Amino acid sequence: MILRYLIEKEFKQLKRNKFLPRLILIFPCMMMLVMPWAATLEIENLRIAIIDNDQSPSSQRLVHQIEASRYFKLTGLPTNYDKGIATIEKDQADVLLEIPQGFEKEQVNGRPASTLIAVNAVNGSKGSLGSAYLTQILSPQSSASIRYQFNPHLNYKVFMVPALMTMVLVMLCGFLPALNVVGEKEAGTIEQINVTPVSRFTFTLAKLLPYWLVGFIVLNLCILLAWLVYGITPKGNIGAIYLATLIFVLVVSGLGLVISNHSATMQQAMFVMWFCMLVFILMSGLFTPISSMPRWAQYITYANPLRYFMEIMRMVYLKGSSITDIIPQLGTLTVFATVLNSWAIYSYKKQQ
Amino acid sequence: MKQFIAFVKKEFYHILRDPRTMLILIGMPIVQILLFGFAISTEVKNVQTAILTSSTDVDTRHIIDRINASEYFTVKYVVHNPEELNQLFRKNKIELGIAFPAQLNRQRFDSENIQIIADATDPNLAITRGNYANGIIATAQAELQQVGIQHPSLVIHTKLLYNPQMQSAYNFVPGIMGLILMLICAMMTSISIVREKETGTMEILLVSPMNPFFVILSKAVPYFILSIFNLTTILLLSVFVLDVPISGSLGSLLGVSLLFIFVSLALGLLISCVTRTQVAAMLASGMVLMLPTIILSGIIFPIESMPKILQAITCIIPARWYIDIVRKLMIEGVPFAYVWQETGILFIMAIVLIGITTRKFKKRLD
Amino acid sequence: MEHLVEVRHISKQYGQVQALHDVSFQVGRGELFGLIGPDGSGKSTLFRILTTLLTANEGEASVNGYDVIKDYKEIRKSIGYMPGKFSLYQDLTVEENLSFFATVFNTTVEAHYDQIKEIYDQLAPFKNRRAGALSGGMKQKLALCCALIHDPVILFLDEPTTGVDPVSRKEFWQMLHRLQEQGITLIVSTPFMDEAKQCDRIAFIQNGTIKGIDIPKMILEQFKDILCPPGLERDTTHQDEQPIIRVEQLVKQFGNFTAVDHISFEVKRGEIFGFLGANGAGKTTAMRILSGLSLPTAGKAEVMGYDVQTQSEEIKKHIGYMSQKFSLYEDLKVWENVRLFAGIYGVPRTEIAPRTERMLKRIGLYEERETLVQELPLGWKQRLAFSVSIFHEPQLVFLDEPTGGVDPATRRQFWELIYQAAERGITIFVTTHYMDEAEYCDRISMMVDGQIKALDTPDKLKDQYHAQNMDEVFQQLARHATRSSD
Repeated sequence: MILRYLIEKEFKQLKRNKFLPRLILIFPCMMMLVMPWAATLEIENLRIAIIDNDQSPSSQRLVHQIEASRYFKLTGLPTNYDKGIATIEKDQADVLLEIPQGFEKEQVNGRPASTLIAVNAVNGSKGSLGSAYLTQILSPQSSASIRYQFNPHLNYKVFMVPALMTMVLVMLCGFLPALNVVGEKEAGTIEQINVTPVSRFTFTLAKLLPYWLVGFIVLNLCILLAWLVYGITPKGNIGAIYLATLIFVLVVSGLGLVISNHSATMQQAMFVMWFCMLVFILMSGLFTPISSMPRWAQYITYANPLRYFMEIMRMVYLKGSSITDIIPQLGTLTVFATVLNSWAIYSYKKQQ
Repeated sequence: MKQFIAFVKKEFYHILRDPRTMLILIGMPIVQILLFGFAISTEVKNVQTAILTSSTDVDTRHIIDRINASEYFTVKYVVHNPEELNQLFRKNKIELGIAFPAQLNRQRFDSENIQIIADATDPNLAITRGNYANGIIATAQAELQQVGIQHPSLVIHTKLLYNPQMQSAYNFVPGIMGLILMLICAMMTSISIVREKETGTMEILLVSPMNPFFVILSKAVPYFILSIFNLTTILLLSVFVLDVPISGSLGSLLGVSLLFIFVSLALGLLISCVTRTQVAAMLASGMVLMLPTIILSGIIFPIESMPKILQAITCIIPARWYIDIVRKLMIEGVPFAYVWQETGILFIMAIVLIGITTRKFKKRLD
Repeated sequence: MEHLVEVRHISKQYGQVQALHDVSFQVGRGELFGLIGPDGSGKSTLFRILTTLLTANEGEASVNGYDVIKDYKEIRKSIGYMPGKFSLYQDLTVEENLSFFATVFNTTVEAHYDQIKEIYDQLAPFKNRRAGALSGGMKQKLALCCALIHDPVILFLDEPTTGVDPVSRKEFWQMLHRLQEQGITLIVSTPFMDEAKQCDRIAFIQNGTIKGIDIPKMILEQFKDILCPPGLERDTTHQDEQPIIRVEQLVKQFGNFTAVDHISFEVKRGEIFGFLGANGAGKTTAMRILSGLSLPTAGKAEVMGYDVQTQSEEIKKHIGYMSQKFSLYEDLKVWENVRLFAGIYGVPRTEIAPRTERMLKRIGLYEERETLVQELPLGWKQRLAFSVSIFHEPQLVFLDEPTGGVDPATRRQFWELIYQAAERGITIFVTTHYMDEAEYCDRISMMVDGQIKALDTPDKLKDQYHAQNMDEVFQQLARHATRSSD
């Protein structure tokens, strides 16, 4: 029954903290309300400059077609290639299209006319998408129809929202426990706990459970905001999301506690956690697909708990996967939770 | 001057005696460069593909072989009814499905015949993958039709400027530079100053005859040196390991970096002036500096895709301008004259921030 | 006499709290001026105003002829200051700290070596050790060196000897006297009355106002209720001879360093056992082993029949512990702290509330039950921490320097609580640096260099060493320490 008093204490401390309760409520709101707008890799309004050397009706038609497309914004009609390149250098355009002289004539004669596209490819995805869009407009030949499953309108927010929920959970349920135990070390109160008969297991559990609840609150807040603001609701079983979150919060909080136990100062804990988070988030498939990574990097992602949770979130939220579909991921997360929390219990030393 | 050197020495002792933090500070840029350079990419490769077909005729086989032979797609499953395909999508086993009709009509291909089903949970990837698959199928069909040389109406030559291999590193290196400089100059400086307030050593330093502003300034120097070190590491790694060239003038690149370091240091000093505890300094620099820098500076997410309001907000983020300049100077190799406006903005920011910091700075405890 | 420090009608407020109210006094050149008063009386605020770190709301003050507001730069060149909290860089070595502060004050260690030579000679053996690893007394000496390095005209010392053992304190004050002979003016605050007696004049300050300034004898007489409370009487009849702690040849090593060196002793059930020793003699280490916080390297120790090596968790169920650093949760209310620890020790839930009420009423904190612990004065916190540590009625309680940094009257109130607990049959195991407190104990052990050099009742020890009081006993025993208080 000791657990009860310890948890009561954790909540009182959390409640009394001037900053944390607000953080727990404001951070998810900020992330859910601002991030989907900012964190978009949707390529729209690419600035294009067109050199029309032909000045014929069909080249004019092409220019209008491009202007009308939602992907492009015509920013200039330079007269020659050098001037065109200069617009890219001055950052006035992202893409340059050169229509050669005799463009219409060649086409009428049934010979292929050649055009030149120059793309600023510093941003790789901008470059490839830009040229892909332009190619589509220039030669609208297609041999197969493409169906965009799960996100027919290619809405980028649909892609980001479940990922952002994951990030919010990681940040709050990872960082707060990481600062917690080391905070008690700095305040000296841990010494007082160490001379009491509280077992390592009870102590660790008392540190974990509050973050379970925090995770639960945050998740509900996120689901609610996703529904109200973006109209995004889970296609699959919402119970699966809750179940996965409960396990996942244990994983990240466990990691936070392990780091906290091994750190001497809050600054240290903070930096180590920051470092872990950075690698975990980058290697989780949150922004970039895991299948595009080289083999060795893909093997590393197997050791990244975030990867599995990210998969679960997108699967259940967007694809309507059921609990049976996510059993492998759930199983792996459970293993992570067990290992990390055993480590947290083990690394908490009541005696030197 | 001697006081100054003593200070720098002392600060280095602090840094050197906390190996874990130091390792992270020095290792962070290296790990980031390596991750971004080798692990993180958005190129289409090894897309896990499933084929939905009920026939095994030669033409279907031919197209499937063509798809599998490309480096973009790996055919993992061949299923016979749509429900199975759906299952595979839901179990996250595949990223693309291609549905063939029961009977392929060699003479009359039309777009209704073959359907590409792309997992559009990631819209950009879905578009690119769809286009690639489409292209391969078109070529395969052309081979089947064997109607001689087809005359495409248009030949398109695409030229990828500055980054012909489409390496994502080209895009990320400037971003990492901005992020790391911000982290070390602003965050570390503010935390280390506030720590002296917490441990009480600031009291003694303030009582000393040293000019208090000088005290604070000399605390910033070691982090300045550390960031120069990190900057060098990043540049060396990107040139020699990632093969990202420094196309522009190294001098102006370093000059602008120096300016940005000043802006970050001023921000760090400002935070240290307004916060009292390490935790507050950490959270302030984490929430007010790092998060906006990552999200709104164009490191990962292009600024022009953001709504107008957010675009306006990005203007007050120093890293945005710095990353912009580095992208142009380093990758595109344009002359300095093309970036004087951005540099000017950074310069004004530096002056304003230093002004506010000097005003906010307290010579006493309260 | 020329006035080096002049304070005229200084008042200082922090929000609603009046820290100082209309304070005026002068300190003459070459004087050793003492500031005494309870915790939270405004001493530290006064120091900070004089060292130009804070600005007063009202009144004016000058130091060395310079105004603390206008000419703060001049003042900062000519003063030395030791803040209440240990304020050196813990991760720098002794030598690095010293040369750093020398440079900051625009001088070198060599230029003023004579000034600090005597103190520094004691530190020299540890010059490559990190300041954080020094013992309390050594830290204070180093801090004094750092404050003296630039040859200041006036030295401000805010409770420089809190947590320092009697031998080191004595040495420290001998240094202060020598500094005074060299013409340095000193303003010192202290909770120790034997130190206050050594000042030329002392000011007694309470609730932000100066109640009196005079030579020590007069002030101590005038405010003797607070400063020199009468001793305590204890009836020591109901002790039984059965030992509650039995220690045999206990050893604790940290690397090559033997902190506890084959000690053996017994503590009888129901007694107040004083565990004395210089800083770094190994007291805290031994106590941490007995309370199950640390494992011994060799030897045997039993607490209530449980072995410390194998049954430390059993021991923890039956003891109370109050550490030197105040360690209740500052962000919990008074009753919440009591409830938490009562719960941890398994006090039945229905009993917690009524017992909390009774306990808080007894120690006079009932009115403050809804107050956050961080808002209580230090003396109250200590009383609360002690009461919490015995709330579950343990048979034995460990107190590690429970009364550091508070005035004599508050300390006496604390000892009344200890006596009440002892009456109820709780065995008390206590360490302290106050020799008047040592006299309150039933039996005392003296630890020197990790070994127990003496163990008996205070009276018998005084007889044995032909001493007037415990302080002399301590001085005689600890002077032979080879570890040089480290």
